Amino acid sequence: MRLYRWFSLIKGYFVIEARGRCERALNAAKARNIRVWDAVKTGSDTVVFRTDLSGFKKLRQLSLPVEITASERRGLPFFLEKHRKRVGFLIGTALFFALIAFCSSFVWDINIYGLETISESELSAALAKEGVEIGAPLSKINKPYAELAMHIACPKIKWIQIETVGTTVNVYLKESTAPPETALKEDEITDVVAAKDGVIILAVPHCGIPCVKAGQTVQKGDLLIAGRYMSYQNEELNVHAYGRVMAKTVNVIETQVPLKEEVLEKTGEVMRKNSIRIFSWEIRFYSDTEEIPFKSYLCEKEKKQLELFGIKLPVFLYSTAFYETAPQTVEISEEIALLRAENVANKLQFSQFGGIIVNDIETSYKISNGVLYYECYLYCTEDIAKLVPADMERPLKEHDFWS
Amino acid sequence: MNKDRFSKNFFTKAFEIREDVADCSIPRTELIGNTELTVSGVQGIVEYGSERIRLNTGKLPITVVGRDMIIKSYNTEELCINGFIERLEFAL
Repeated sequence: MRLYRWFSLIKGYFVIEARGRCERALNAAKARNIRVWDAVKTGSDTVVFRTDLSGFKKLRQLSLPVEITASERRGLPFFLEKHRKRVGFLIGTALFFALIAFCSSFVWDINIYGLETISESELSAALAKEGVEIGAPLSKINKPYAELAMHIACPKIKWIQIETVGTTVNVYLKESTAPPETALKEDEITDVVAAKDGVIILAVPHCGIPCVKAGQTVQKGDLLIAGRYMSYQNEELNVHAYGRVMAKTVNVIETQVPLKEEVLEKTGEVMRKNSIRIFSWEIRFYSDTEEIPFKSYLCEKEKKQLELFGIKLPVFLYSTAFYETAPQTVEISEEIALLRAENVANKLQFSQFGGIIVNDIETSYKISNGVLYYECYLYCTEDIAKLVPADMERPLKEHDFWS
Repeated sequence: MNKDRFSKNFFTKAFEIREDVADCSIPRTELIGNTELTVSGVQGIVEYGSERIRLNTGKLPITVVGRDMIIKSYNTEELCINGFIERLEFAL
């Protein structure tokens, strides 16, 4: 309904006052397909309603026992007619539209989607080199060329698409996933050794001879799958041994949290440096030579882009606040220290043992000399196979497996 | 009951078709809360006041009683009333 009102304002409409048998006026309007809206009874025999330009003409031509008068004329056509002799207004309107058209030929905003490891500033700098930056003329952006150039500038980019929507440039990209690094070549003679201590559950050699059995305890560096061995015919065979060796292991995560910590607290003194950027022109409201009067301070940067009716404008407000800080010693309770330690341990567990099956977890902590020491034992099942170059000095023997 | 009426009744009941679909002369009213009423199939306004609006809808004249009622839109298809609607009366 609100949208319809806007259309009515653009097309123009009359506010009609009908005196007499107003129902007849409304029925006659309906019978002649005249659009009528917002009909309000204002008196015992008066109705005020709205109709468009053609509707008013048709109504006046009807011979009805109703007195019809146009009390108001509203909308763009009447507004323009009223101001048609005002040269300044017309020039101002023309200038306004010319300015809008001129400003619309530049990039107002850039949205980047799909960033993972590449930083936004790095990509923005690379885009700016190819002419894709805020304030750049839209007509100068050569999208296919810029896309190719971005592939060369950022080899991590697997796929990139640059599209322009109005004055906004949208950059969609997908970063490539680097293949896992293999330190050893496939034709190199290798052994598989234990990456850590554990109890073997299962050894699955894809190539080479297994040297361990289920239930056997191994230590870090013990040979698990041999790449050099004697065949039945007592010939020395050298292969690129590899495989999976699942074992029960115990991993320990240790963290410590001091019960007293020194934090920087704001004293209340603050200094601000503000600036405005319109397209690529920056207006600074501070002197470059102005120094920060605090010895210790905290810097908070804020960037705000102005919007008008949800449309992002190429106007950025930058505000950098420098807060003076002073060191203060704060005591941490045992519960909070324990929570912090658990959080750190959880993060470490996720980062170091993310893909490992954890069968059981045991935790313990102690407080000593004002520090909380936290230990977390993870009882895991994991692949402990580690490829190493084969020890060529190792004497070969007929292995149990063959006997 | 004439033949046409009988056949309409029979089909609407047998096939569970809404009456306004089978019989175009029946007005269709849509009430949103108690503030907006839309009536299609209005043949004319008989009486218009801010507290009482009577509509000629052929077989089933409708009287809308309420407060501060205005006709929001009125065209060949439907009539929309806004205001505080207190009750609807169907004069048979």
